Formats: sequence, structure tokens, C-alpha cells
Amino acid sequence: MGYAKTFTIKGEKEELKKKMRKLAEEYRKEAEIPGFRKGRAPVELILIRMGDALEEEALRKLAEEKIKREMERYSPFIYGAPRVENVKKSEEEYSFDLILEVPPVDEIEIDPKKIKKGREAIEARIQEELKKLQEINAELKSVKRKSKGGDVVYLEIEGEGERIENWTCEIPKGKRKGFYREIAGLKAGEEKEIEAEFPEDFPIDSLRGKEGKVKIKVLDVKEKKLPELNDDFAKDMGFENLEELKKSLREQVMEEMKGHEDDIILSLAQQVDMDPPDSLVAGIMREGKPEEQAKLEAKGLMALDAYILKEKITVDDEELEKKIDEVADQAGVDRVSDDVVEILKIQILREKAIKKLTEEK
Amino acid sequence: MKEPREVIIRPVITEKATRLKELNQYVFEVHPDANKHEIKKAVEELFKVKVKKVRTINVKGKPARRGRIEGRRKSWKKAIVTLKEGDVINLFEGV
Repeated sequence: MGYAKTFTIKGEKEELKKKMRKLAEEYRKEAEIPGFRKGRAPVELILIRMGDALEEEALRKLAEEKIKREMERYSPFIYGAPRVENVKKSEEEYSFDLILEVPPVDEIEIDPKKIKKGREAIEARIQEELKKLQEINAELKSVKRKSKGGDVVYLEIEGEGERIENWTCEIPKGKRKGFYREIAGLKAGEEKEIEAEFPEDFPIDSLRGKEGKVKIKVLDVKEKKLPELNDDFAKDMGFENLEELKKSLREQVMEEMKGHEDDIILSLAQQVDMDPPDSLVAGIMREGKPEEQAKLEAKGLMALDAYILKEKITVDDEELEKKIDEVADQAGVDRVSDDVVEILKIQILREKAIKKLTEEK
Repeated sequence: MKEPREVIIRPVITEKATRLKELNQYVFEVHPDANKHEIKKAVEELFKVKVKKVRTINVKGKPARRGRIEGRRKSWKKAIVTLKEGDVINLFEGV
């Protein structure tokens, strides 16, 4: 059994009877019962024919009235239909349990800091992008000193019967091995015979990734000068200042990360150790996912929804309208049903929450 | 003598029958061989009421066909029972 919240509800029997009758009167209008024209069957007959179903619905309706505030608190995250159980009736009173499958708002604590995966990934990607920009805009300057990590060297290579006039490579920073170890520390003009393992991108095919022997001559050593990450740099890139550049990169990265929302949901799932509501799991399984995965996802979603409720994230009409128009447009219809609106609302809320979780510092 | 349960087969619950209640008349499907006296006795015994009048109709089954086979639905006997003023039969017991 997954997570669900139970409310015990009590009331007078008379109240229940009235509610049932009222429901029966509503059904009467649409009921087609043999022997009667549509809508003409007596209420009593409807009550007899649909008794159990009516009772359950009446109880649910009564419950909804009685715990309206509680239910509103969870809206729109009530997964599946509320269940009525444990119905007890005496002469004058009735009582029952209403079981709501909702996110465990009071039970779980979501720590946005723990959602590292998403946020850190985004930050790392921004840094990465910045670095790339730096690299692209790096200045190369010939130097007379010995080459070191980060420098770009121009080499003439002879070996295996081949001769490469001018091959450029960057000497890796940090620990070097094989070929790079041999060429580090050479000055422009120096010559050397190298016996080592060659890198995968070596220009002589037969030596790629293998050990061998070549003769090289260093044509030039150039120092790579990365531009400083400051407002001037941003201006060169066509932005107002560095902040603007970062913002633009963030947007770009967020766009790229869109497909990775699942990661965030899964990382949320790791924060909770509670069985997710059954309806939620069932809903995900209907999308064709295996049970284990559905359970994990449901766990994450449950946590996400709990976070939304806790943080009181809301959707305003404008956002909703926009989304509705978008969807209606895609589907080529004028209107969408209320059910769909509800789903869209949940979608927007979840998107917002994910954004909030990934942005929060 | 037939048992009351044998005589009265079921109440007829239709729009028309429901409307007849206003005239204190109740409609039943009864045993095809039952006569008015038997029906009166059976209703009085089953529902603990006084019967003023019984009218009966033989309802002829409607023609029916299943593919090529023709036939008719079963014929039955209908009784319209008028009760003494003030007496009531509650067909929807327990509601």
C-alpha cells in the first residue's frame, strides 16, 4: 500500500439520506429505466437500483463538504478518486474513512540543497560553456621558453617512413604520459627522437595509440592566453556585461536540460523513503513504464508535489491561458476539456517547481 | 388454493403503474390461472391491506423473431388492484 491520508468522517444518518435523495434526483433526469420514459422514473426506484453506488457517492460528497479545507490544501494533487472505506451505520449516525491519495506534505522535508544533480549540473555546464568561449577566443603568442602544460606546440615529425610538415597539438596540463611527456619542456628549434606511446589523434596512422619511434623538430611554442572573464570579454561577445552573458548561457543550458527533468525527479525520489500513492504509480505505469521505474518516478513526483504545496507555488491565470492556447493550437481544437486544464495546471506547477529547485542557491 | 406468493408474481413497475397509485390502484403480474378472488385474497394476505376491487387483463405477448424463427414473447396476466381508501402498499420498502 502506498501513501494515503485517512480522514474519519461522521455525521447524522438523516443527512446521508438527504444527500442520497438529492443525488438520485439528479440521476433521475438522465435515467433510462425499462417501463419509464427517460427522466420519468420515480426517485425511489433509482434509490433502489443504484443504492450502493449512490451511498458511496453521497458519502464522498459529504466528505468533500466536511473536509473542504483539507482538500483544497492538496488541490490539484489528489491522485485518483477518494476512496470510502470502513462505513459504519447505526440508527442515527454514520461514520466512515475517506482515503485520499495526496503528497505527504507534512511528512517529508525537501531540501533543495540536496538536489545537487540538477543544479550542479547546470552550474557546471555554464562554467563549461564559458570555458569554451574562452578557448575559442584565446590568444596565441610565440614564446622562447621551454614548453609547458597548456602551451600549443608546432611540430615537424618524421617516422614510419612518413613526414609531417606541421602538426599542432596542445600539451595537456597536469600529469602527462607517453608522447606528451616527451615533448613537454622543449624549446622552439629543438629536435628530439621520441620513443613512446602515441596519442589517438597522432597524424601518423600506424602509430595511433601504439608505441613507436619518431623524430620531431619543434617549430614553435605558443603560449595560450585565455581572455579574462570580465565585462570586457562579455562585451566582445556582444553582451552588456558578464552577468548578462551568464544569464544567456543559463537560459541556453536550462533549455538543453529540459529533457533531464527526470533526473531531478529521480534525485528527489532518493530523498524520500515512503511508498508513493498507488494511483500515481498506476498512472505512470499506464504510460507503459515498468513497475519499478514507475514506483521510483512516482516517489519523485510525490516529493515534488509536496514541495509545490509546501512552497505554495501557484499558477496564475495568464500562464494557464497561455499553456491552454498552446496545447489547443497543437491539437487543432478551440477548447480543451476541464480534465486537460487540470493536467496542464499540474504540468505548469511541476515545471515551475523544478525550475525553482534548480535555481535556488 | 394457490399460495399468495404463487398468485402474485411481481409488481409491475412502469410509469403508468406508478401513476395509478394516485388512484390507490396497484398493478401486478399474476398467475395466468388466478382469478379475481384469489388475487384479492393474496394481496390482502401479502401486504396486509383491504382490497376494494380487482380488474384483470390478459396481456398478449408481443411478436418476436430471432433471425428466421418467428414466435412471440410469453403472454401474461395483469391485475389492477384497487385498495380501500387509506391503505397503502409500499413497493419500495426500505427507502
